[in-house]
Amino acid sequence: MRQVVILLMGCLWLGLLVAQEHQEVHTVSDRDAAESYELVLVYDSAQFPAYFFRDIFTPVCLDSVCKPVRIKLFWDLLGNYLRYEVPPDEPLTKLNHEEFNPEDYERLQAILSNEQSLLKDFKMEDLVDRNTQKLSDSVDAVTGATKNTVKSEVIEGALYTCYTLWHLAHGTVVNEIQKLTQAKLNDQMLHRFLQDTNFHYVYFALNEVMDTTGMVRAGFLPDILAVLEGDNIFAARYVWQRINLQYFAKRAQQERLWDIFERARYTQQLALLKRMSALSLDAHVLNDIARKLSEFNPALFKQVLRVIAAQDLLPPFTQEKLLTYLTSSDQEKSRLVYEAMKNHPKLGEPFKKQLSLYNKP
Amino acid sequence: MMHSFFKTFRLALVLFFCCGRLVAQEQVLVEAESFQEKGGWVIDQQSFPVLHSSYLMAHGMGRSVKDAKTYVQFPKKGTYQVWVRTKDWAPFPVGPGKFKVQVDGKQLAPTFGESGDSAWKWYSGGEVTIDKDSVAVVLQDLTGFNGRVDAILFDHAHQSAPPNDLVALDKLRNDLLGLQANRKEMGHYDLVVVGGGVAGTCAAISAARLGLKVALIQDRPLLGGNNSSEVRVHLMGDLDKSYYPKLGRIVRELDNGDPGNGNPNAKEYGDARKFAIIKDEKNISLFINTHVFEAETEHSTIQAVIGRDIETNQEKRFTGTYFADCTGDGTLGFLAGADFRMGRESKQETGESFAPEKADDFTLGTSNLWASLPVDSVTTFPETPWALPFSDEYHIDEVQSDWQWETGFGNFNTITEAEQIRDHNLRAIYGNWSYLKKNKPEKYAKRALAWVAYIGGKRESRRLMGDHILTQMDVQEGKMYPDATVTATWTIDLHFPDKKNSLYFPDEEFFAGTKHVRVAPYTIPYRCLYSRNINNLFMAGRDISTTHVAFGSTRVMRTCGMMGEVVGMAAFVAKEHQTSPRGVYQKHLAEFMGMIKGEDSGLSIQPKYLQQ
Repeated sequence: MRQVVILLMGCLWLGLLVAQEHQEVHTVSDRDAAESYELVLVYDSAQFPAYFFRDIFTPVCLDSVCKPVRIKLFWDLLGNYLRYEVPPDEPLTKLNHEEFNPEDYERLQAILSNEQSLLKDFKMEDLVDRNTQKLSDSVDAVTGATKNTVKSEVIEGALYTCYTLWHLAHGTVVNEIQKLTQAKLNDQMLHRFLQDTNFHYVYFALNEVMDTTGMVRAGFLPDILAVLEGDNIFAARYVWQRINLQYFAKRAQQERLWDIFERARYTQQLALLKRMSALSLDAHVLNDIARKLSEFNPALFKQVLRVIAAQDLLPPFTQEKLLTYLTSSDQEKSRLVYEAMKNHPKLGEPFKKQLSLYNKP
Repeated sequence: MMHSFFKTFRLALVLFFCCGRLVAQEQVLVEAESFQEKGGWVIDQQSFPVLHSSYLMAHGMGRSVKDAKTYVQFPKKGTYQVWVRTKDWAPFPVGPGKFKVQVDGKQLAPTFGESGDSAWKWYSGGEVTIDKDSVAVVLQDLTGFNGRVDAILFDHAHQSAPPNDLVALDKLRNDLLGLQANRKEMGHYDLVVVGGGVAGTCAAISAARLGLKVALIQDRPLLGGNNSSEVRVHLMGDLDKSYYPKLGRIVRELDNGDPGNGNPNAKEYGDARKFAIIKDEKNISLFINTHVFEAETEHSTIQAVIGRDIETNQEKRFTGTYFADCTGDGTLGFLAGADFRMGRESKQETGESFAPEKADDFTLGTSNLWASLPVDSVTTFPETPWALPFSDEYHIDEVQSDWQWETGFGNFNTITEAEQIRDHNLRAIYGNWSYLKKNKPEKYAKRALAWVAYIGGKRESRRLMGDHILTQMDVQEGKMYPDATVTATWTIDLHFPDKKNSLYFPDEEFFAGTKHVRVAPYTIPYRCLYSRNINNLFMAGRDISTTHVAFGSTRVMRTCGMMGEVVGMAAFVAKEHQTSPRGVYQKHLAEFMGMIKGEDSGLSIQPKYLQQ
């Protein structure tokens, strides 16, 4: 019995190992460096592409004084830098071979994670005082005005290391990764991307499955709506600003939209209302909205009124609700209703009558 | 005819005060800023031009502040309707600035500050029975997130809600507080300097050391303006490249070293140093906490200015021979009817390559700097659903702010919407900090906000027009006019919304970018330092006579301080010759420039302190 268990566990471990270590090695030629390197794509246990990495062994200065660096850099499937690993027995070093301390390693991660680092705009020559480069890896070797600017972007005593690694992390490899991912892209991956917590994947997939008119590729509407009501407020706004409104032409779709509205954060509510005026809203939905008017603060109240006023036809219940505000003692709300509705062409007689009485003693 | 008029006028005056008294017996107005014990609440006067009053605010950075308390005298016992003038400063949809009011130990039923309405209004607090002559009124903050109170009104007559309309409200304040009736005459001064920032302080010192009797009026409790510990912007602009080594000496005295922007240590900004220097100047009368809101002008000449104490509401009238607008906002010039500009001129108008094709309202923004510090244990920060939203995708991963935290690029008016700008900055700061605390514990769990500015550091507002308007060409070509005075060295530094910030917060940007355009040291003509249409008005600071583009370089504080020094000297020359600021340029330029250059011996006039 015990042997069987051991055997089973062994198989499981082997299975996991195989599943986890499924890798694909791609040889990439780097024209700038006139050499080629291996870029490894790692699959997850479900056999989906998960991330890329590259083993790097590189000099990090312009001469041979400093030690080369052995480091492993990781990227996501779109070439966004993720993290690095350094072999425990080959620590990174600073000027005079002083080893990195834990803060330096943290700092390096922060530096490499900053896609917009100022290092992007500098050439190595800009950072180096030719007269002193053999002696120093210090920011103090940087001349003039760039010194202070660069200081916040590097680790003191490891200027070349930071510079070299940042350019490796954000260089031509990004494009190579994107090409490889594009070649493997399929609907399954896109579905996963849309549900991923990595926002880069979400935007990438949104652009893949939505065309310029906001039409969504067959089978992806549920994913898109999930993004619209998801926690990523920026992605939700992105969807709402682009999606074709024909997806919200019917009552059930509008009810779902209103449900999303009610659960959305305030800023998202304002964004939703901006485009809702362009929808021809179902009478039931309009009545639902009118029923909720009392719950809105003045700013939302005003925006919701704009949506209602933009409708060709207003059901009787909605008009009745609006009438109660028009005739209420709350002068501000009364005024807002009057301003929103005074030019509406198809109102019932009671409403028209009250509008005509507004402002009269 | 005349006699009859005065008779009628006198009668009207008597009737007016009688009515005021009758009303006063029925109504008791308590200005929140005048509470005897402020507790943790702070006075904010930044919106005085809009509200015509200061207010009290619970600025606790997310921790409720200590109660404010005052004792109110009631002329009559009985039932009073209570009205509280407040607002919901972040109605998205409901803000966090909640507070309670207690009267005579009993809490009023409503919670204030959570109405969802951003307008300042009177809110009913219900009825209270007053059975003592003096009753304690307490403001109890519930959140530490900037709840605010302008005033509390007790109405014995149970009239309808007090007015929100500004004219009627001004009358109510005046009637119940006796503002004009109790106005104090503060005397006559050779030079009245309005604004105690670096420029105003330097102007006052410069003039006082030349023997002028000077009033220095500042609307905050501290001197230094943007360089005070309330704002914490460091001094920029070089002193050592000056064409005239004598200029900049006073700035050096005030300079407390460079702690950078937003340093968590308030002492670094040298508030005490500034006060100590002013204290030693026997010719300066300093009036802090005084906001100038009215100017009396005759024949384009300012006769007097009237200020109101931002705490006690005591009004004060200052008469003067010369006035200097060092307010930054050009407040005095505006009140006196001085020509001014705000926003950007067009390329066609100025011929400047950096000017936009069309003139617009774009200005540089206002910063509310902040800083966090390490703490011993893990701390939390409240959720901020009313603040700007941040996510993994967009947040600002910083332990301390710098100049980039900036709101108001033409989408807000830096004067009339100063409160909204500050509040937008607070929504950005608190929203981002809340995100960092919750989502990046490895870096932020053991950090806490140490300081958040509630006074905005403004960059740009009105520019008062002088006989010369400094342009980009003046700056870049380094033109030396005969009246060249202050040497300026700062780049043309025109901020704009950061592109990424615009992408995530369109029209709600709070983060800035810039492109520094370097300039060789150049000089600012004296004619930029006095008004072209108000006869006795000088200017120093960011509100001098420049285009928007040139202002991008002149606006830094060491440069502004030197302008103040020059204004002090010009006021001295003007007084000695009994002439106007323009007269100094037109008739006494050689003598004036002699002073600027430090050639004292060449002067036909001598400063009093040299004559002794």
